[in-house]
Amino acid sequence: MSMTQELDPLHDEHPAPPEPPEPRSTKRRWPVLGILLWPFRWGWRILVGTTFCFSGYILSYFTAIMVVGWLYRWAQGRVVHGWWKQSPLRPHQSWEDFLDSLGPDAPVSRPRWFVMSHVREKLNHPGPDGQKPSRLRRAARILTIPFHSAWCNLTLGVQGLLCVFLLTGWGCALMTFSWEFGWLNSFNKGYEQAAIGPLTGLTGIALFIAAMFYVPMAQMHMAVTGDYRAFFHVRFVWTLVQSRITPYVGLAAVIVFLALPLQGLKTWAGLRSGYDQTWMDASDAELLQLLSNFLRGVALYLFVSLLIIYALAARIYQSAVLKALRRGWLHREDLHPRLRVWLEKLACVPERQPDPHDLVKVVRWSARWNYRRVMYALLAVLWFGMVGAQVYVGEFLNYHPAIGFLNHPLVQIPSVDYIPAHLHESATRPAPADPH
Amino acid sequence: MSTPPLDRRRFLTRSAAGLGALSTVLATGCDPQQQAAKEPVQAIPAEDVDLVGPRPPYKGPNVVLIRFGGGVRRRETVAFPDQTWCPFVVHELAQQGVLFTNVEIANKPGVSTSHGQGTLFILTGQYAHYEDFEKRPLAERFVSPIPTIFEYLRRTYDIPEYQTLIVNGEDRVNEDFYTFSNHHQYGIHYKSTVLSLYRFKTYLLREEVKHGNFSEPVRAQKEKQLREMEAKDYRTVDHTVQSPELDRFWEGWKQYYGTTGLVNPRGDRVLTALALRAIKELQPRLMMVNYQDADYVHWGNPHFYTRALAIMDDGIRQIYDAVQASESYRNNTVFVVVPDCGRDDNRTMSVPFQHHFNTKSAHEIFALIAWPRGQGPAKKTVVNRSLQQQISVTRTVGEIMNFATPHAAADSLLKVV
Repeated sequence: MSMTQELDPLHDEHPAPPEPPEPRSTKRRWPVLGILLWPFRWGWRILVGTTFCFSGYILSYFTAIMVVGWLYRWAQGRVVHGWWKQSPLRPHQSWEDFLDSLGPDAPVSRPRWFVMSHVREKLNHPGPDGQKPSRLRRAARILTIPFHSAWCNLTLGVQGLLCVFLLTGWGCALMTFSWEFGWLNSFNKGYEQAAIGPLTGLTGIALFIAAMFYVPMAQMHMAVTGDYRAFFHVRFVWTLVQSRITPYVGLAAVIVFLALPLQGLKTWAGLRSGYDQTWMDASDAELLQLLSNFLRGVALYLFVSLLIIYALAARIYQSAVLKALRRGWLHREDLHPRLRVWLEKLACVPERQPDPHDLVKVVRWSARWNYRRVMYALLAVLWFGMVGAQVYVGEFLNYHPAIGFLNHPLVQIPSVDYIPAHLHESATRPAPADPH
Repeated sequence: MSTPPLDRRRFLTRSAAGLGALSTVLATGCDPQQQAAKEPVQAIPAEDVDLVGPRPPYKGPNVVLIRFGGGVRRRETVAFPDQTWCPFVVHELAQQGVLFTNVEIANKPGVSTSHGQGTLFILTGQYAHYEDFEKRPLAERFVSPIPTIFEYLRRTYDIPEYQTLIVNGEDRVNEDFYTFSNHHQYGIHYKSTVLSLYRFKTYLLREEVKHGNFSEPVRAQKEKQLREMEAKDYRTVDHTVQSPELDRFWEGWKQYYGTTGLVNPRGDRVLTALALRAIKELQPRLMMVNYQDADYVHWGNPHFYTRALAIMDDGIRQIYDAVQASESYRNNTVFVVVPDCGRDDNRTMSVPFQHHFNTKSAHEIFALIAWPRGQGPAKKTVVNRSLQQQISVTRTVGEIMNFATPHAAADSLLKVV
C-alpha cells in the first residue's frame, strides 16, 4: 500500500460502470495447497504478532508499532474482500484476479510481516516515466524485498498511532496528571487544592470517552484508505458511526469485555511474586524469565483480541460505507479517491434509495434521534467502564508509572511490556567477579 | 382456728413502733445522702468486685508507644543501617535500648496484616480475626473482646483518663474508637482518651452548639451534625470524652492554631504536634502515637513511603527531645517503637512495597525498646536470631509499667534480653 499515491478522479466524476469481464473460473489458484498451508501461515503471523507485542524490555513498544501497521493492512484487505463478496462481478472475477487488477498497491488478505507482498507486480511496476523499470531500478527493488512489508507496517503504525494519540492523548495525559498530583496533594494534605486532582481526572476521563466515540471508526477509515489524512475526515467518519451505531456500540462492548481479562492478567503479573512460591524463591534473573514467559502468554491473548476487534471493526466499516451511500447520507463525491476506485471497479456503489414519504421521514427521524441518544449514553458508559473502572482499579492494585494511564493496549500501542525497571536492572547486572 | 384477740397494750406498742419507723423513713427520704448511708450495702456481683475499690497511684516510668505505622518494611528501616530512612531511630534511639530486628506478625488463618488489626494486636496482646461489627464491606469498625493495655493500666492504677492517650491521625477515624474493649471486667470504665483532629472538630462543634447564637434551623443542623460525629463510636455515645483537662487542651490548641484546620501541621506532623502539646499540658503516663502516612504508597508513588518514614523518624526525634527537656519525663520515660504491619516485596511490581496484602514480607516487622540514658543496656543491643511476636509488645509494656496483662498471649520481649 503506498503512502503517497493520490488518485485524481477529476476527469472522471461519474464514470460508467466497468464492463464485466468474461466469466472466469472463480476457483482459487492452488486451493488444496492453500488449505494445507493455512495453519502455518496464520500460525506464523500470530507467532510474530505475539512476539512483537512482547519482545523485551522497552523494545516491545517499538515492535508493537509494527503490529498496528500490520493490523491496518489486514483490516484494509478484509474490508475490500467484503465488498468483493457483495459485488455483482464476483461470479466473473476471482479475488486474486481483482487484486491483480489493482496493481502493486492492492490490498492484501494476509499481510506479511517482513517480506514484500505482490512481488511480481511491484518489481515490474513502471517507473516514474511510465516505462518499464530499468535494471538498476529493478535491482534496487529486489534489495527491498526482505523488509518491504516491515517498512510498510512500521510507517503505517507510526502514522496510525500518532493520529490516535492526537485525539486520545489529552485525556490520558490529564488522567496521569490527576493521579500523580492528586495523591501527592493528598499526601501533603493540601486541602486548599483538594479539588484539582479529582476534577482533572474526571476531565481526562471525559476527554478520553469523547475521543473514543470517534477513534475506532476513524482508525478503520485510515486503515482502509491507507491515508493518514482520512483519520481527520470528521464528517465522513461521523456519518459512518451514525449509520451503524448499534454494531458500533457492540464493538465498544467487545473491546471493554476483552480488556477486562487483560487488566486482570496485567495486575496478576505483579502480584504473583508475593504468593507463588516458585516466583518468590527465584533469583532476580530467574524471576525475570518467569515474568517474561507469563507476559508472552498475555501478549498472545492481546494479539488474538486485536484480531477479533479489527475483524469486527472492518465488518462494521464495510457495511457502514454502503449503507451511508444507499441512504444518501454520503455521496459518491464524498468517498476517498481510493475507495471510489475500488467500489466502482467492483460495481458496488449502491444506488440511492428513494426518499420515503414525508410522514415516514418524520417518524423515522424522531425514532432515530431518541435511539441514537440512548446509544451514545451506552457508549459513554462502556468507555467509562474501561478507563474509569478497569484502569483506575487496575492501577491501584498494580501501579505502572506513566504508562498505566497513558497507554491502553487494545486502543493504542499494543504492548504488554510490564517488566519493572528495577527487576530488569538487577537481573541483567553482571555478576561480581569471583575473587578467586 | 380463730385468731386470738389483739392485746390493747401490744397493739399500741406495735403501732407506736410502726409509726416511728414510718416517720423515720419519711424523714430520711428527703435526704438522699442520709438515705444512702443508712441503706444496707448491696451485694456486688463477683465479676464486678474489682471495678470498685481504691487503686494505688502510679509511680512507674512513662511509656511512649510509637506505632511506626502505615506498614513499613525492615529493608528501609532496620535491615540496612547504612541505608535507613529513619536515622534517628536506628542510630540514636537504638543506642539506648534493644532493637529486635526479627519480629513477625504470625502467619495464621484469620490474621490480617493491616493497620487496624495490627494496632489491636499491639494493644491487646492477642492475634485475632477482626471484622466490621456490622459486617459492612470495606468497613473497619472493630471491637476487641480482649482488654487493651490502657484498660489494664487504669484498672491497676489510679490514673485519670486524660493521662492515657492515643494520638490518632485524621485518615483513620475508626481507630479513634480503640479506646476500650468489650470485656466485662474492663471496658468503658478504664478507657483511654484520643487526641485527634476529629476530636478537635467535635469539640469545636460542641462549643458552637453550646455558646453559638444561631437560628433554630442552623442550631438543629449543628446539633444533628454533632450527634452524628459523636455517634461514630458505634458502641456508646462517648459523653465522657469531655473533661476539663481536655477542654483546656483543645481550647489552647484553638487559640494557637485557630479553627480553620489550615494552620496546624498536617499529616503525620500533626500527630507529633499533638503529642508534644500533650506531654506539656496533660503529662500522659502512657501515650500511643499512631503514625500512618507510609500507607499512601498504596496509590503508587514510592516516595510517599520513604518520605513518610523520614517524617515519622523526625517526629520521634522531636518527641524524644521534648521528653529530654522535661524534668518529669527525662529520666522516667521508655520508648517502644513497633510497626502495625510490614509491606509486600513483590519484585514483579514497579513498586514492590505498594501494598501489604498478607505476603510473607507483610508479616515481617521489628521492635525497639529504648530506656532513659543510663538505664538500659550498656551498649546498643540487637536481637536478630530469635523470632519474636508483635503481640509480645503488650506484655512488654505491662512489665515496664508493672501491671498484669492476663489476656496477652505472648511473653514479654524483655525475657529475651
